Amino acid sequence: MRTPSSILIDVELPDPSPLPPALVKLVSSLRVVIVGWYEVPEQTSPEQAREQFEEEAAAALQEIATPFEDAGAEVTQRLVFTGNVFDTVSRISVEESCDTVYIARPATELQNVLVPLRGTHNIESIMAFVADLLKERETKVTMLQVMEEGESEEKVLSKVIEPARARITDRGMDDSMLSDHLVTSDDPAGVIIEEAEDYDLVVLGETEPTMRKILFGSIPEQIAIEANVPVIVVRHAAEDVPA
Amino acid sequence: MSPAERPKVEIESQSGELERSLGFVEAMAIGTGTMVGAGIFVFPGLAAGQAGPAAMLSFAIGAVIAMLVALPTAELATAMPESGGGYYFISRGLGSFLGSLVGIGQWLGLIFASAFYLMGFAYYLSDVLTVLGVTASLPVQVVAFVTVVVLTGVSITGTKNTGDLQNAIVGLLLIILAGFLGHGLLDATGVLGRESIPETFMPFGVMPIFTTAALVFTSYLGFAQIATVAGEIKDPGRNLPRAMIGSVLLVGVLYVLTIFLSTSIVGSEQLSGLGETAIVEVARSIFGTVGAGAILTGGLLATLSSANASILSSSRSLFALSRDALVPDETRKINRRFRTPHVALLLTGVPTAGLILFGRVEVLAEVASLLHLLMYGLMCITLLVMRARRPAAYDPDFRCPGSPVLPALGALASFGLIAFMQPLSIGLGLGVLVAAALWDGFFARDVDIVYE
Repeated sequence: MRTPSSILIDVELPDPSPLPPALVKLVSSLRVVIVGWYEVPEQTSPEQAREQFEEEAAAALQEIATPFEDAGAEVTQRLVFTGNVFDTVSRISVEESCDTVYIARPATELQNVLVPLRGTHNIESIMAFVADLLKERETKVTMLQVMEEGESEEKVLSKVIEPARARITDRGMDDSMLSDHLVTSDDPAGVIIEEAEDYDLVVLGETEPTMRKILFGSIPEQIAIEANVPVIVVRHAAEDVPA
Repeated sequence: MSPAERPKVEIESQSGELERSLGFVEAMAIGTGTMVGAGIFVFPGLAAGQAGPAAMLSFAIGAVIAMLVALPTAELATAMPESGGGYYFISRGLGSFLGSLVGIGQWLGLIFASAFYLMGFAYYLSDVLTVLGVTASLPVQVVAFVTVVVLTGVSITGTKNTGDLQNAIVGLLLIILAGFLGHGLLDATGVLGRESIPETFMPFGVMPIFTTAALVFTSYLGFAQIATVAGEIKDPGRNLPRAMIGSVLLVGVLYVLTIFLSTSIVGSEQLSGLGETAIVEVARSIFGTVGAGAILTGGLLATLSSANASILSSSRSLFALSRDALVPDETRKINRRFRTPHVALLLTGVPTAGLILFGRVEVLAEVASLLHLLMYGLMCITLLVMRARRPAAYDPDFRCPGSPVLPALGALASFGLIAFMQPLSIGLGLGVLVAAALWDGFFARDVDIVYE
């Protein structure tokens, strides 16, 4: 059997912003890697900060982790004193082989999920994750495909939406929870950000095989920054990267 | 409770990791950024005044000594990639007494160095103000004093990471210097039709070459600073040696070329009269006002970045000393609000301000060099001791070539160079060491450091 999907959730220490209880419930079937980072400026050696603040930071991290553990998730905690948070999160996402990365925004409930697709790109990983995440829940999933001018709707339905739907139902998700939405525009990021307003969570695939590209200078980055709802970025599965 | 009974989460949550966030470029920028301020932007006038065109040999001697020390240091740093640098190696290799002499010497040496860089900065700022037509002539010491107050304040309260800024500054400096040296060399060698100034290579004989080498050695204090952040460097086995050796080579070449250029184009007699900011005139005679402006900007950035790097490095030294209980624990307290080691930064900034009031640039530079040279010589000896003792924990990724000859030469050259300094600098340096020894005797007598 395939191992459960995993998600990386990073929190700032020693005063983390609370994570929505809905998230705790949502990811309880996954392997959850919680990265608590304590950022120090260059004047300070991370070692010096660890010596003084480790106990406090570890307690704060444990407080964040406890609800996930109680909800039944398989939790791994990583506490890091760092001068560069981005390095830390991307290093750990690789070390722990996380399939997805959670980008926090305030949220109350997670009942409506938007899944923007970019053709068949990365579709296997995205759909597998969505199914793992949502199959036993009353959560509505909307697949969004932004089409180019002149692209045929029928073709998109048969080439993208249907295969996606098949993959997700194969993994045990109820077909009635799925819907699709096609929009024509030359600004996919803008459309996704606008549409996201009506949803509680966005799950989208990274466009490049590296973390750096997701967070710097590509469409998902813009969405992750500008969307007002939480985003889960699905990383490239190793087998999706052409050899 | 036996380890097996302990709840799993507790064990997990106890192990805070330390991110290594400095890559090769950042490590090079620390080394180069610390060094490049002095050799190009402060010393050419002073050095040419003392040794004539042969001052380029003085810089070359400095580069050779720095390289002889950089190779053993790189081995020690890859064997012990811990914060603390020279102090850490020597205390582990030669015991806590020499360790604390060097540790306190390292802290104070960097304070002398920052005072020196800040004086250089103040000369540049005064020149800039004059160029801009601000005639209110403030004494340079006042300018330097205000700068150190601001810099210390910013270090304590600044929570933004300025690593990228430091890289950008070093990059910009290298671009300015490449343009300046590239065009200037074509000009100086007559390709562009300029007559170079005919001059005796060694107008004052051989001796001044060595005394000048002792004076300008401050231009090479910086490669070992890379070792003080060894604990934060990614893949230290590879990046530490490359950054140390690379930064010495890079600045060595830049320095020698700068002196060659300056003496060919302006002549050492005139350079000498121009003092600390002589290089601005060299740029002016090659490129006119634009060149002078670029070099003035470069000088401001370079001296300030050198001072800033030295202050940070000095406060890191205090952390290492305090961790080994050689100075009180309070020294390494981190301010909760700013997350900066405010006590250590104050213990660096305040003495720097005091030294600025003393204000003799050449003496500041020499004492800084003396305290570092002592540490460098002892690091070379530490390498020999480690090679002989072979502690089990000693497993360097990089091995210094040519041992024992090369490190022995490094030690001899480091100690030897001290002999060519002014008596006042030697006296002050010894005074610092005596004070450090007394401190060690009273405060740290019972400290024992073991490295197996």
